[in-house]
Formats: sequence, structure tokens, C-alpha cells
Amino acid sequence: MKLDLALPDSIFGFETSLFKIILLPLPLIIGFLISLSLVIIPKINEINDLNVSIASKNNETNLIVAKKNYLMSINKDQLKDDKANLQSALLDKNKTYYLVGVVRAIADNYGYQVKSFSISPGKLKSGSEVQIANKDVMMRIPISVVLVGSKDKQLDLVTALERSLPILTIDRFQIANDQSATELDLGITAYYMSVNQNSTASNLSLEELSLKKEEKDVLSRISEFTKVEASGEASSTGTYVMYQRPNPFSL
Amino acid sequence: MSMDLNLLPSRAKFQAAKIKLKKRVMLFNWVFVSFWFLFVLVVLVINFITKARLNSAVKKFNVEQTQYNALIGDASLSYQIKYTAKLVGKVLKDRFEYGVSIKKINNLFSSDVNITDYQISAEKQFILNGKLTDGSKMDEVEQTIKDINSGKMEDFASAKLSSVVISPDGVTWNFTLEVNLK
Repeated sequence: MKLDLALPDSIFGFETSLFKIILLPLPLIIGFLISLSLVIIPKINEINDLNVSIASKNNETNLIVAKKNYLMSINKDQLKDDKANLQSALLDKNKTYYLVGVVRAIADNYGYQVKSFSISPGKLKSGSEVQIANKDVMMRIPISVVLVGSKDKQLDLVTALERSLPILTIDRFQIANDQSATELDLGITAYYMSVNQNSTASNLSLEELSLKKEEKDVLSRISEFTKVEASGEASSTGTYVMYQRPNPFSL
Repeated sequence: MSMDLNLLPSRAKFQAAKIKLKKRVMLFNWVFVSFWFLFVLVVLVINFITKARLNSAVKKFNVEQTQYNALIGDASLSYQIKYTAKLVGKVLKDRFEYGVSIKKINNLFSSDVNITDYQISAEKQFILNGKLTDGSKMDEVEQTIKDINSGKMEDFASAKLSSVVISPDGVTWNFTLEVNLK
């Protein structure tokens, strides 16, 4: 059905037919503006969002490729050695008597004897924890020990204590020298991890995976230290044996 | 006679101008519509291509993620090693190494000066007892103290001669020296 509007021959002195010709593009312009707001601009915004997503995804991919390449470039044997050295550097729990055994083992190598030892912590030089980024992550295990032995071997003993795994820190050092013998009263501290650091490996950044120069230096340094095992440590493994003995009170 | 001369009546001329205007408006409409659809088409094609690029990027990421997940054990181990190395490094950095310090003290003098005994009164503070069988060697002790206090010896902060005791026969010199390490 055609809509016929009864229009005068002229509007404001202009011919109506002329008006019709001039206004012909108007519906097109209106249609364009509507399509601009409903289709074109939303699509352009979507393209921008997609480009942001692509850049973000490419960035994530680059990071993961960098991490993957780093992990593939690591010498696996070196990784195992580093792990073993670090495990030896720290005690796995608060094992004070084991620590005394370690000191005894080192002292034995230099002809020194443990005259006495004390496991009461006493006054520590600093706090009982080692902190990194305000987190208490490593606990100190302090002992006091008096060692007696040859004066000539004194320096060798002290050096050996400071270059052994587990890592030992001498907090207190007192010497009493005789003619040829010396008595060393030492405050020694070892360390154990109080918090197990678990982090989701997939969320780790390359920086958290790769070793800095200082950390490589530490690993290189402790690889030169001597691993010391305390002999005679009580074993926690074994099978339970039930002995069939009569109850003496029931006889 | 000029070719521009228009002999049509004014109404006919007006009609001709109207037809010409209508043609131009129609041409404008066609051009406008063409650009419009072309523009929409270009936007839709770019949108399609961008979506395809995103899908490709996601696929590539998933492939890399899968390969990385196969190495997750090494990643976890590397992190633990780094973390523990940092802690151990802090311990090693913060601790005072008596062995190294004693070595430095032992190398302070030549073999002519006999250090008979030493005490560590505080961290980095040594009290040395020495013995000389030739009084002239005391010059070396004095020169060493001078060098330490003038900063010529990089490991040492300061030195002070606490006492000098000469035996009655004048042969043996016993001295006590306080040395502070840096």
C-alpha cells in the first residue's frame, strides 16, 4: 500500500518535488547512523578487545616458552646435585642431638673430643628465625659445645666447622689455651626449614625459576663444603616385634 | 554564436536542472551505500580475522602450556632450589667466619714475629699475645699497627698495642695487641 501524502506544490517557496530529491539520502544517512551504533562500533570495540586478548595470550605464551626453554636448558644432573647439597645444608627438622653428632664427627677428624655439650639455646645473637621478606621460614637450632684437642689443629677444626654441610654458624667463640692443648667453647647454630614452601609451579614466573648470580654463587660455594653425617643416629624405621612374655604379676 | 545559449523555456530548464540534481543525488546515494557496505564488510572481515588470530594464539598457548606441564616437576624443583639457596645465602652472608678471620690474623706478621696465643674478645676483635726473641723485630709490629690504622691493610679496621713486657735479661719481648677486623 503506497502512502500518498497530500503535500502542497511548494514549501517555503520551494517546489515540493525538489525537497523530495534533496531529502532522498536522509533515510540512508539515518540507516547508516543506526548501523554504526548497532553493528559497526560494537564490532570495532570487539576487534579492539580481541586484539588486547591476543596480545595478552601472546605475552603469556612468550613467558611460558621462556620458562620452558629455561627448564629444558637446565642440566638435570646439576639440578639434582644442587638439591642434594641444599638438603644437606639444612636439617629437615629440629634434630639437636643429630647436630651434636655432626659436630662430634667433625671434631673427630681433627683429633678433638667433645668435653661437654648443652642443647639449651641460651641467648642467641639474633632472633630464632631467619627471615626473608618478613616471613619466618628458617629456624635456628643452637647448641653449646666444648671441644678439647691439639692447638695446632684449632684453625683446621674451625674452618672445617664453617665449611661443612649442614651449615654451621659459630655464634660464640672462646678459647682457653694450654701448652699444646686448647679448649674451644663454641656456640654453634644450625638451621632447619620451618615452613615448607609450596607454590603452584604453573604460576611461577621465570624470575622465580631462574637462579640469580648470588644464588648460583651460593650453590657453587656450598658444593665445595664437606657433607658430614652424624654416626649412630637413632633409626625411626623398623618392624614391631611382640615378645611373648608372661605377665609376672599374674603368676 | 555561443554554444552555452539555452533556448529552452524556463520551466523546461528548471525540469532539466531537477533531473540533473536527482541524478547527482542518486549517484551520491549509490556511492554512500557502496562505501557503507564496504565499510561494514571490512569491519566484519577484520573481526573474523581477529577472532581467528585469537583462536590460533589460544591453541599455541595450550600447546606450550601442555609442554610446560610436562616439565612441572623441574619447575617446582628449580623454585625450591632458588628459594632455599636464597635462605642459605642469607645465612652465609650474615655469619661471621672465625676460620677466615683467624687465618687473616695468622698472616698478619712474618715468621719473625711469633704469635703465641690469641683470644677473641668480641666478634671481629682479636687480642694477640706475641713473643719476640729479637727486640729489633718490634719495628715490624709497630709498622704493622701503623699500616692498619692508616687503612693500608684492607681487612683490618684498627690495632692498638696494649702492653709490651721485656724480660729482665732484655732478650725476650712479650707484647699484647688488640686488632679489630673490618
